[in-house]
Amino acid sequence: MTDYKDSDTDMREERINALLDGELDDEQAEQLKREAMGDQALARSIIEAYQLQRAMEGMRVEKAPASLRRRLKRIPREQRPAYLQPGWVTAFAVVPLLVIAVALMQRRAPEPSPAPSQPREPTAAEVAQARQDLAVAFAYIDRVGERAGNEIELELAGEMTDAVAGSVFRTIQHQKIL
Amino acid sequence: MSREYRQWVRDYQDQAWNLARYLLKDASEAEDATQEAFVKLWNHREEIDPGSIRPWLMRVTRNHCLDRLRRRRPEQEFVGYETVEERDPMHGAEQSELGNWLQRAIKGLKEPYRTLVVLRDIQQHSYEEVAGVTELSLTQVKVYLHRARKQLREQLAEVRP
Amino acid sequence: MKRFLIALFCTTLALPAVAQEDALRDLPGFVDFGGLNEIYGEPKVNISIGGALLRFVGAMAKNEDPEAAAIFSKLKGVRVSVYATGGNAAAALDQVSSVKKSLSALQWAPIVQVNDEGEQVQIFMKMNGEVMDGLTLMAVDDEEAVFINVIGQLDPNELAGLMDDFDVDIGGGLDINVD
Repeated sequence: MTDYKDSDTDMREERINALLDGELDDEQAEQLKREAMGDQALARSIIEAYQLQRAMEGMRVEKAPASLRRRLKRIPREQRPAYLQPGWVTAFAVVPLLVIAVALMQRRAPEPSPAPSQPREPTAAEVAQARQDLAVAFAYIDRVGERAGNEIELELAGEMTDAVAGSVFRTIQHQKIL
Repeated sequence: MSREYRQWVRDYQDQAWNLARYLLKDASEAEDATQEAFVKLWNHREEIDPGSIRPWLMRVTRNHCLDRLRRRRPEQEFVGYETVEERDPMHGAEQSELGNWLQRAIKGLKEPYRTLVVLRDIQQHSYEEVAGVTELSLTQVKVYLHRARKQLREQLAEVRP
Repeated sequence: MKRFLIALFCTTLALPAVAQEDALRDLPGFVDFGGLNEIYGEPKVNISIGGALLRFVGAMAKNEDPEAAAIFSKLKGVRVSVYATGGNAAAALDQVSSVKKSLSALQWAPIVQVNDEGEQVQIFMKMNGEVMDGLTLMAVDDEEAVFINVIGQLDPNELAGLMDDFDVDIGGGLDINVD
């Protein structure tokens, strides 16, 4: 973009846009409107400018897709330097939190009693469908566990950074920028 | 700090994505560029003035988009601008014909006109913020925006009776 | 006539799922999540598998994987409901709060409770002495509300191993590989 110095057209456009943006005082606005009454081209420009402004104000800001939202939420975890991750935080990142938390609270279950006899044997199709459904169920269990792990990891790691390595971390970041 | 970051994601992901879509026209590339901007935001979060997060983020998003545009081969022209909504058969019932036309017209503007129109007229950033994002002076922003709007008005006059 | 037959066929298909859900209600590890259909419409995922079917799934794998068969024999039910919240998580968050109160009153132990603006993750466990009767997971954000209830004796280490056998990607859609 080369010369942006005002030409006559630019000056006229500037006044029209200033009118739209509410930047003209009452006297200046009235002056412009008086000019428009005697200048069809100016009047048309002002009307079209208002129409365009209303049209663009009505345009929606497109919502970010779900895939992007998930990627943005994962950034803090993915960006954490390895030296700030002690073993047990890494463990939370690797294993679903659900598994760890429940394992800590539960002792080994006793041997199950024999399965009762079934009134009706499911069809092969029903069993196949059940396997598909179980796959989906496990995927959601994994996802919920991972989300819980992420949230706790963020909070704990944040506290760790502030309490233990905050100043050191910031120094290293400054050096990276320079 | 992670809570603040999550709030920034909620507050600004749509606008950053929106700008990237208008600039790159390709959804997948726009996602990548937006993610790169938020990675930078996370990595530099301690240095940014909390009151300037939005313009900072939009500037970085735009810069990442412009870098990608410069790296594109000439034959990689993206002619269509198909939003998620436009693939929905019901979309036509909701979005006006004028809105559809405007989207296409805006994507046809050259830089920095396109960014200025998206930031000021669609996303309603202040002139000062727009100047900060585009690294132009306030005067430059206003003059270029005037020219962009004039171009759009003239195109609109041609298609409307 | 055709419409009547189609309606009858659909009703017949639905009966086994309803019957499975009814059979689970009396189990101590069962959790009633209430209904969000009126607000979010039909759930995008609605799974209810009873003990009988789970045992058959395990029995099919018995020769190749006796451990999996043993795990399945201890499970009495797996229930999953997932709603698309479409940016409006308020109703689902209210439902989670309501279920939380019920679970606390019924002596379920909270394992994980994550509360953030517009998002929640809640995990509860029901113990009966040394044995676990059930596991409940609830996760809500502006994209979806997930309600999971696993009923039966559950060893989490065994569950992790079982989950490894099911390779799924539910990120954008449902892309499932089952060994």
